[in-house]
Amino acid sequence: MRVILDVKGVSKGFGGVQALRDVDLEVRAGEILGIVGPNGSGKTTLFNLISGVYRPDTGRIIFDGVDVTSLPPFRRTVLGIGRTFQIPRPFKRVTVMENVAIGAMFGSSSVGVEEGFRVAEGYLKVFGLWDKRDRDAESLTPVERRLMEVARALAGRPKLLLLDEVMAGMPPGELDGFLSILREVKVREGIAVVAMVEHIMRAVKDLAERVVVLHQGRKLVEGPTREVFMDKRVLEVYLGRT
Amino acid sequence: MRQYIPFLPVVAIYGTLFLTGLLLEGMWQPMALLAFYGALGQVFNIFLGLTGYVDFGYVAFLAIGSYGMAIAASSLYEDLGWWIVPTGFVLAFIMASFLSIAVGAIALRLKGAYFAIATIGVSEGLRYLIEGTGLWGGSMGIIVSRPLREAFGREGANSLSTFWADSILYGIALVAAFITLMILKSRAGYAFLAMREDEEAARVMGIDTTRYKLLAFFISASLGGLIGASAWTLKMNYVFPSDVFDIVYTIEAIIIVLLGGSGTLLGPLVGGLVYGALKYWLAVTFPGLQLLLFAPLILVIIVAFPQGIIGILRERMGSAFRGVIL
Repeated sequence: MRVILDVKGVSKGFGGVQALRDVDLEVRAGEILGIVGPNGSGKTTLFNLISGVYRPDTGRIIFDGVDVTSLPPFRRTVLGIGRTFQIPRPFKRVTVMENVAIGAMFGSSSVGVEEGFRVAEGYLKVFGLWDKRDRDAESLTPVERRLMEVARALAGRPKLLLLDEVMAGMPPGELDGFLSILREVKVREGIAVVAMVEHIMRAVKDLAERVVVLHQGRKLVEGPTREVFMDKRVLEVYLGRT
Repeated sequence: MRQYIPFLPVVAIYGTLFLTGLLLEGMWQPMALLAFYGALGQVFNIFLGLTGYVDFGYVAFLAIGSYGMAIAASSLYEDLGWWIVPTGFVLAFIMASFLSIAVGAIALRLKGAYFAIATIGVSEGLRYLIEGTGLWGGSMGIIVSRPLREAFGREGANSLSTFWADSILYGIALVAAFITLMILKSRAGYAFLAMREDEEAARVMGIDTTRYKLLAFFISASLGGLIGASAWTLKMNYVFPSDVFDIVYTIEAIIIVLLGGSGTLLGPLVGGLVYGALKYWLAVTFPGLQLLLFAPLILVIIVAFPQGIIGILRERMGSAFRGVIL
């Protein structure tokens, strides 16, 4: 399969702390890749490098054939990288509908106002937020805010969707619903998804085809989901055994 | 056509002011004062209201515009005749927009309070540059009464100052309101909405926030230049740096926008009416005490109603009417 995202040897330090060391990552078009690792392993830094919040100290990031290493975030979004935030950042005093419509208007789809609202309608229905479309986003529950962020990111028609801990705090029942929606949308639109997960291993096992484990800023293991979770080194990191 | 409906109340209010001034004895100047505040608010709202950034040096654009008109009038009247006024407006527009691009390209990279401080610096700096180097007459300013008399005759110059200079303000206010409506209804309006809520998230959503900020700054500043050209140079017939760089005008613009409802179409108009009327009434009723009473009153209103008059009305009316009152 075609490689949509090629991260080549990126490193990033903050003062004395080396958050990422020489990490390589390949994401293929249409696949779901899980990134797991304990707190402080460098997951969020990696996301911020890919979405453009930070620039790497070394290494390059190639997205869909374009070197995006030093492009600002909005350009990457227009090229087709969508993301959610670990702590959701809805436009609070803006309606749910408008939030998602803004995602559509300025993402890689770049549509007009009317078309933006039409696209938003579809995603709000898919994520069960249609009844709350006219409410301000700040009135949503934390789980609804996450769903709205995913809808907002998807409305921009990304080729690659970065989900930052989007499943954290979801009740098991809703989690299943969310996973099936995500799989369905992914298949329908052929987008690649990189989901970053700290704790909910069940979600990764159910969702991801491939998993990368980060540990202390390095890539520890990479492979098909089932094999990775059997790997002795991964068990060590998570369970602290030798 | 439906999208132009919110523009009707704007036209109706400015039209009423204009006709009241024209038809009622002694009302032209009070109405012109309201039109000045309406125009100032309307034009400043395009930047403050849409971006949420406070430009404390905004008066610099009005000032540079008034110089644009004064330079055209004082140096070209022999060649151009009455064409100096259109030329003056073009020059005012160009000078204000150049200043806005120069200032904006640097200062708009700063956030929040840093931006506000930088802009005060620009305005005060420009004033001292003019006074210190003797540029454009230095602290002596430029007096244009003679060139205007020569170009228009005594009668013409008189009506230019007492009628046309004020009437043009109504026009600027309407143009600014129309531009605001067009922006609010377009993609750009949603870009500004997202940016005011969370600039970083807006950038991640694909919005080139710097470009939009610069666009709003540019439109607001260049229209501000036209206000300075008309309300000061044409009306007063002189430009003194200590008058035109007075920070009081910036503060009045901020109060008007916040009072009426930042980022709304009608807000600056309503804010300008309330502010102008209140100021006028206090000055007549409590002469000498007006500022002492005015400042705490404004403070209380803004603290109590941070969304402004129009903001509150929209909230009360519910979502069905949000699209009507902008």
